[in-house]
Amino acid sequence: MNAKVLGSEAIRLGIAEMMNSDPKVLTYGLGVNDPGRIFGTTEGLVEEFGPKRVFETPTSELALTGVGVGLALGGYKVIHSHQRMDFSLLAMDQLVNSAAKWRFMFGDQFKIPYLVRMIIGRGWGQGPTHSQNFESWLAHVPGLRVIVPASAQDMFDCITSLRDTAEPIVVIEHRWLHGVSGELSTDVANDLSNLASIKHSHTVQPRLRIVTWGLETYDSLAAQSEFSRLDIPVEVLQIRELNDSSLEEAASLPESIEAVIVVAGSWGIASFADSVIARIAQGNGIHLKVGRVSHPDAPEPTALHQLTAYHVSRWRILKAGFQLLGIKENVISEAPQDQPGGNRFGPF
Amino acid sequence: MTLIRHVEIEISSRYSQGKMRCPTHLSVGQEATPAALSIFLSNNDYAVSTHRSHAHFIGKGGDVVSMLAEIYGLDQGCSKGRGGSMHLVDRNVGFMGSSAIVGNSIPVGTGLGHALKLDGVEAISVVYLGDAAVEEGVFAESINYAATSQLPVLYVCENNGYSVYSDMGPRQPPDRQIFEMVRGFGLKSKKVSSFDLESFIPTLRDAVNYCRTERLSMFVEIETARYLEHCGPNTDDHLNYRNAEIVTKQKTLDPLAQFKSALLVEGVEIERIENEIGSFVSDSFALVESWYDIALEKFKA
Repeated sequence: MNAKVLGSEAIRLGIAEMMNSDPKVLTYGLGVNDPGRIFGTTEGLVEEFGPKRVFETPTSELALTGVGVGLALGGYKVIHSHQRMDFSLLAMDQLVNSAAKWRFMFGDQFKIPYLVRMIIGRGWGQGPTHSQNFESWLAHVPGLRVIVPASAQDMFDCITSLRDTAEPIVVIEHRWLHGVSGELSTDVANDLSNLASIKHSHTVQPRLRIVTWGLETYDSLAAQSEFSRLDIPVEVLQIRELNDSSLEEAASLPESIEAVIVVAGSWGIASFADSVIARIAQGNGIHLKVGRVSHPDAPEPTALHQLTAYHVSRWRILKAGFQLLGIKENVISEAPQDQPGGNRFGPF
Repeated sequence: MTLIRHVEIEISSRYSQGKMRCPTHLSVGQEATPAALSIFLSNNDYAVSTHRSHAHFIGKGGDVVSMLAEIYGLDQGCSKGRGGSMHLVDRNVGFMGSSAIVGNSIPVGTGLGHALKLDGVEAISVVYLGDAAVEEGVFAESINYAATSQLPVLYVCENNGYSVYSDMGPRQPPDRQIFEMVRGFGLKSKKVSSFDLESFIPTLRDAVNYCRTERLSMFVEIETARYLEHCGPNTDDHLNYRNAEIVTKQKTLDPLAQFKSALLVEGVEIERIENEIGSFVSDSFALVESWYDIALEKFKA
């Protein structure tokens, strides 16, 4: 199938594809069968696959993570959803000490086909505990695959990566990406054992590379357009899996590159973004100019007027690029963005 | 029971050689529960365990040589030397792993029970835990899930009265029994003493049968005693954290000794069986130590 679909539909199609192709695939989590259906991403699944395979759970994030590991050991494949990543913090012992270890610590004799979706909220006053993105924590844990989709195709691919995975997968799924539409091919011939990075480039002689992932891919692409309007050639490298091979890809630079900006929708200190910069420095010495655009070192406030300059935006990326390249251009100051595009998402 | 005791005593006596280089929690005194359960479980049944997992592993029928090799840190070990004493596994007999984090394997074993329910087979999942694990939030979450979802899981709580050196005083209210608390979650729940073999073995038999035939969860709290220190090969009674009289009394009621006396009355050739077990254990250690010597040479080279 080839079609243009919303991100939420791509997730739904990915889950349906997995459940259709393998009767051992299960989907559970708080809200999978409620009227909201996790922002539409589990719409129609319980009707199609039945309540034994698509089910609600008690409000027990920790136990249900361990149950997922047990189901995986017992021959099942699990898709577990958290409507906010913040809620999954209760599950960390099972994620880190069970899911991420059971394969390694028993000598690689188990596969752990356990996939957990962690949704990141933003806008409409999500505030300090409905918006947190701990991608760097999770990327830090050996034994976990951390996938950060941006496009509808990425959304589908990250779910269907469950098919052959040996290690548990964390999908960091930004709420705003549910409303972004894109081309989707559901032919699953791709190698999904490691989701390679994608280079978005209009030029062979880029001066600037932006390394990014997830939602901030779109801010980066928007910044790329602004740069190209000023005849500054920029390439965007979109990482899809936070791991060592994506660091290698990010650090492998064309000779024409003068500067690199890493753009991440999370905090900068001790981050994967800083790992990208460290890897680039290790490969290129200190000659290259590098910058980072990420959240300031503070929790996210709720009130809209306090969000100015909190999130990544095309304008912050532009400003960083101008600084690094020594270009004197004014950047439009901007109001904080509360909603993706023109859509209203409240109350979520 | 005798096999477990022999293996554990042998580990204890050799541990100070320094070849078993991992935190090791011995089960001496707590052999009766997995030994009794071994009569009623098959290889199709699952089990998961804790940091004190040797007895559970052997009771489930786990390969003793691969367990010893694991404790000696060898590639031939059941977890290829990556896990050590606290991370034992033998898939062939349904022993699906043990974890060093208190309470960690409880939801995993619960999930294995869920898998068996979906499989529509007769097997059950056994979750071993200690008395301190019931203080972890994941215990409450897991038994709530098992009761709500009607999973064939047997929770076997070996209550030896201590979380490392801490008795129940600061941990649980004096008037509350663990098994009664669990009943409040909606599981069938019983308490039995491992020092009372006559009621102990039938209680475990009935518990396994209940989970197997009713396809429901059950909790059994078992009064037991750890004879050696929490972690390591020695005794620690000189620290005076336990009531010496109670410890002495428990040792005089040793379930293994009781069982042997009962078998003697029945005319079983105890001595011959013990000798066979003894030679099996020495042969196993000899084999594993020969592997250890080869591995050490390679490591030095």
